[in-house]
Amino acid sequence: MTNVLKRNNVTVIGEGENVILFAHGFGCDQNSWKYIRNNFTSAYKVVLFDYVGAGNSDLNSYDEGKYNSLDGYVTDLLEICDALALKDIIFVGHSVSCMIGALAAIKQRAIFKKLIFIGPSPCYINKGTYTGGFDQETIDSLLEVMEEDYINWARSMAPAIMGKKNDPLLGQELSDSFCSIDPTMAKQFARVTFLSDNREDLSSIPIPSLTIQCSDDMIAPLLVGQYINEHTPNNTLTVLEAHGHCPHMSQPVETMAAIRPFL
Amino acid sequence: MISNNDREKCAINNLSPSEIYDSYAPAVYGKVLSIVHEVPIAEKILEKVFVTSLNDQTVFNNTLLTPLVILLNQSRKKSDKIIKALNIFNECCAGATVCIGDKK
Repeated sequence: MTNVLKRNNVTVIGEGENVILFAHGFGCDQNSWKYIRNNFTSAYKVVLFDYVGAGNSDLNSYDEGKYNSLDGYVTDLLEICDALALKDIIFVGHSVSCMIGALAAIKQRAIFKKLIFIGPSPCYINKGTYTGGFDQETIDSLLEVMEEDYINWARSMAPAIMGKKNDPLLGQELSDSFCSIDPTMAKQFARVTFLSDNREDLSSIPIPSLTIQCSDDMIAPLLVGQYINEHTPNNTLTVLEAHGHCPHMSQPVETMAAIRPFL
Repeated sequence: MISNNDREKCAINNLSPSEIYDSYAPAVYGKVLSIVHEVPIAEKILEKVFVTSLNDQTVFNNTLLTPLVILLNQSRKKSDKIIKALNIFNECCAGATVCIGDKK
């Protein structure tokens, strides 16, 4: 039988009875929560994990067929909750994890009390009147680049060439490597992430949710946050002053200030 | 009267792929490197531009542009795409690195 907690390198810290579960986004692992997780441990039991292919997850558990859609990741999330006998949890997801959490809540309502989405997107590609932020060609380029030595390439590019708007010191801090991903598995995760379309699932989300949106996010533009807010029952939209796609890393104080009133 | 463009187009039809590469690669590489600033990335883009172009001779059918200009335009477009893609990756993966022992 699969050891779920080992497979997903599950970490449980904190003292409270209520549970907050943090789910990282594409290209990150549970270390991406390091700037905010400790602020919740006095009042909550905090659960962190790595998706298979990220961090210290069990790479031998990788199954190309299973992870060919978000459903494989949804299954893992539900199995983690089951293994820890969690219910009425507050789920905090970043990026693609927002939709993974939403799909999990639709499948098993009893496990989840509230959902917090940080930089969510139900669909990254522009379709008809919907603005996802990218055209198909750009996503194809991304997937093509991922066939190469993309991680080291991305690290080597100077901020000016990459058109960075953030403070250079902040950029340097963010470029310090503290998460790890398996490049082969990341390729499939990227494909699944950027080609997913969960817009129709939004109306089925059965519990209250909070969308935390950065003011200038190239991955999930403001219009995407507004779309989620308009199409999800009982959703609250908070727009941060923070730029970028990872406010929990770049602006943890502002991110926590957005989370707390919703808890 | 035959224009310089036409002369160059006639010439490229008589060149082998390796001769085309030898003739134009230095200029194309210089252009790519001036955009991406990184040798490994520039080399990969150069390779892709030439593989694409040499596998599709219609690339050089534009009657208004010389083969060199066509290749330079392609290299610029490819470089811009790569930078955009890397930007997306960097934005998503602020702190990511390659797993030890699992590099490609």
